[in-house]
Amino acid sequence: MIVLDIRAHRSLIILFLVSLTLLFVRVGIPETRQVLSILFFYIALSEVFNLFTGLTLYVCFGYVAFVALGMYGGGATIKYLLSISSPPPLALVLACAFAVAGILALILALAVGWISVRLKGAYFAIATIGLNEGLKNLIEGTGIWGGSSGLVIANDLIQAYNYDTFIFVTSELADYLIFTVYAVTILCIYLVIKSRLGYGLAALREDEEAANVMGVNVVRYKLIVFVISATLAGMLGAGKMIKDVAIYPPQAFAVSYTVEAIVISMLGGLGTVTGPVIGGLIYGILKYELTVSFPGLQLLALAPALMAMCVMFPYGIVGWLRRRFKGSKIESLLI
Amino acid sequence: MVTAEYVLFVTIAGVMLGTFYGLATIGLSFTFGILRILNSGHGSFVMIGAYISYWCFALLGLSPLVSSLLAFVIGFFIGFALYHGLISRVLGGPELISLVLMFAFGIFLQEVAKFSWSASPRGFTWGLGSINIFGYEYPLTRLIGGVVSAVIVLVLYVFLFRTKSGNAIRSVVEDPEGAALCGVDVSRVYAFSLAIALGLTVASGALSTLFVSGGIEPYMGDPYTTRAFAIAVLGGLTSPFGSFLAGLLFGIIENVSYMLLSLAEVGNPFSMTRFLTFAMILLVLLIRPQGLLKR
Repeated sequence: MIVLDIRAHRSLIILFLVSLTLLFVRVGIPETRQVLSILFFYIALSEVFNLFTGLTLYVCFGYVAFVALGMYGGGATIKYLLSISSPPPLALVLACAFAVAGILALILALAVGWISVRLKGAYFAIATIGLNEGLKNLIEGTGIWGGSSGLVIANDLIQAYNYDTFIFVTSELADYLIFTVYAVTILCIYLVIKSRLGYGLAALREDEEAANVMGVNVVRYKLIVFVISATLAGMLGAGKMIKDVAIYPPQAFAVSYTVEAIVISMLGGLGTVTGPVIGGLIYGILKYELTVSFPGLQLLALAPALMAMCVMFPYGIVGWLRRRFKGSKIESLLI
Repeated sequence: MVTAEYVLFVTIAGVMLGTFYGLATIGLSFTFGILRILNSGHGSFVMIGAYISYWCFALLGLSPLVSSLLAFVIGFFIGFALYHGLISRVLGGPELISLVLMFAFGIFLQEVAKFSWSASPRGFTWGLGSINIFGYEYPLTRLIGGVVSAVIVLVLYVFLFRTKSGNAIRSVVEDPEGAALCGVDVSRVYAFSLAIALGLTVASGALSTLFVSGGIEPYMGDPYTTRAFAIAVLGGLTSPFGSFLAGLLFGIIENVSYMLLSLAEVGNPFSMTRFLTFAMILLVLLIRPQGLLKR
């Protein structure tokens, strides 16, 4: 049984407890609230990204398309449900938003994944960039979901419930929802790594052709993790929509989200559960501090820092720590 | 009313735009084919080229044609320095690290541009008048831009297939270890290839001002990155001339489908064109995942 054997899974439990502590620091110290909620979104995004890219070493540039689709799907669901004469209870509305966001992302991932996981390496990366641009231009071109003028649900929420509920939902509940997606994602990665699927993927990472010859169905394995990770990305989008209460195509489909997820995962260590958390904390705090001390110039300082880290830690910080503390207790904690 | 003349005019305009797209993409597939590095900061080099063109015109009164030569030289040296400073240190590591490195360098260039020249868009017009193609006015600068792009690509072709250095580069593409055994200095070929690739990209940025006269700003390169990625994969990613042909095709399709969509009045033609081109890429990948030119 997975649940009962605490000692075998202590590394996951410790990671979860650390994350939970961070979540409550943000309640205890109000100054950290804003930073930590943004941080959690980025860590969650990187974990979701890592679930596919870290385990397959295939880069998906179109990740933000799944997040954006989740935002749109969740937002449109909320707007629709609240437009009914007597709005249903809040919990039901939010649950429906998450379900629709997840299902839409799942369908898109199945359709796109069915074609693209057959491609190898960089071809896959580029095929998925088209996904992002294609979806953005489809929404802007046909004008669905508000087209280029965006989708805003703030007023719907305020009118259906009241202002206090609105503030609670956007500033408190949304963070917990994003945290829940994060927790589910680390659990998923952990379970995948320890399963037959995970061993198949490890073989795939080492040598895809050899793995195929040895009977690992590489296309199916890639498709499975792609779909799981895209569905979680869609749900993360629903969480972000509840937090932001608005979405506009240029920001929603900005490639920078995907790239920040790449940077955070690589910085921390691809294919590890702890990597994105460590990478996210370093990247997020660095970015925040630089923004505060050099407003407007933060990227000018961040870019060289990133380049230096690429040269210093090519296998990520977790990869470096694992080598540094090989065989000790610390290594066993760095899942 | 669509006349045969109009279709021909739109196609010719597409060919001119397409040769430019081809030139703007060739550096990307060159880098990928030879160094196995996906230049995720590609667009920033185009942006640098556009600024070079702007300053040469504004301060020295040089035409974009002259400044594209200067842009090539500057891009060449950036490439050389980048290889020896950073890229050579990460080549043995995981493949993805170079992607992040190039991305970070792209941001760095953007921020340097923003810091030095502010984020407000600039522009200039090198007015040469226009010529009449089948009864429609076409700006002469665009015609020149298309022709010059084609000439540059031709020079590259001659260099790669008719000179000794070109042979060395092609042998490294085929088999780096074999080339090293035959006495090719692979590291030098890498440095030189990155320099050429970035030189071409910066030069294409200088020529971009012939097609779009305004909107030179630090973040103007991002659409070029996505478009170049799309074109490169259409051309097979590792083949520079494949991506040139793909660029040509891309330009024609973009222009013709824009014309058809404006006539059909389905949604916003600009966005729909871009949607269709990207949908087409997925389709091409489904049928010919190895690109258009590969066997």
